[in-house]
Amino acid sequence: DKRRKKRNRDGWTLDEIKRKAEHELKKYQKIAENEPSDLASGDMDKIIKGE
Amino acid sequence: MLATHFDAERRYSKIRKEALAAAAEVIQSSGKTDLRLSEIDSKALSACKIWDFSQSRIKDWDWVEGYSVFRFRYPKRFEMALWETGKLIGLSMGRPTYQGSALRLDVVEAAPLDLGNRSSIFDSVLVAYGIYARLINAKEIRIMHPVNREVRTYYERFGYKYVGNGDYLYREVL
Repeated sequence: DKRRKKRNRDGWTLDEIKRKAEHELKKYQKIAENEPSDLASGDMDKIIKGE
Repeated sequence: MLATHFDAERRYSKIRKEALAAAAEVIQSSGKTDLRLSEIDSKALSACKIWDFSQSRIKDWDWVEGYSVFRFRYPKRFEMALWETGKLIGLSMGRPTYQGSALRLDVVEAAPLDLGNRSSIFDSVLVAYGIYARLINAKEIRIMHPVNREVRTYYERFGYKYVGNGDYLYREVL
């Protein structure tokens, strides 16, 4: 576990990535207060057809 | 299955689990203590079948077949099921682009609200995708094919820009 020291190609450790995510989540949670009730995106038919 | 495919599945499965664990830790420490993340497993695929009974669901997607195809075809994929107090509230799957420079959010669906109240999901979905993108060194996240204008506008509030030609929104991973 001490994985935590490993860095990605930009030199970030997992702990640094998590700190960045914490900062982003605070902003995201405010926006998500007005989430559409029918939230969806994608094209499942295309995926099933293998396109 | 080719050995290289099997090897990629094994290596990326480890990164997926790492990203989901990190995202769950971040989300729960923000106060959403009832929210749990998992890979899309048989329990999630079984739980989403209840969505077929919704009167308000806008897409009648077959997640069982769709996930089966996606899983076989894309070993580097990211996938997540979101659970709140033991109830499935969302599913998503995506994968890196061919050159690996971007991470696509290919499909996301929140549990229909006429089947019960739930928390928002997209804030948690984006955080998890952001962590996976950084772990695989993707520089951009692309949200593919928003289902309608309202959803597209919602994504734009997160800083994503719409590309009409490919029907997706993108944002750099900084």
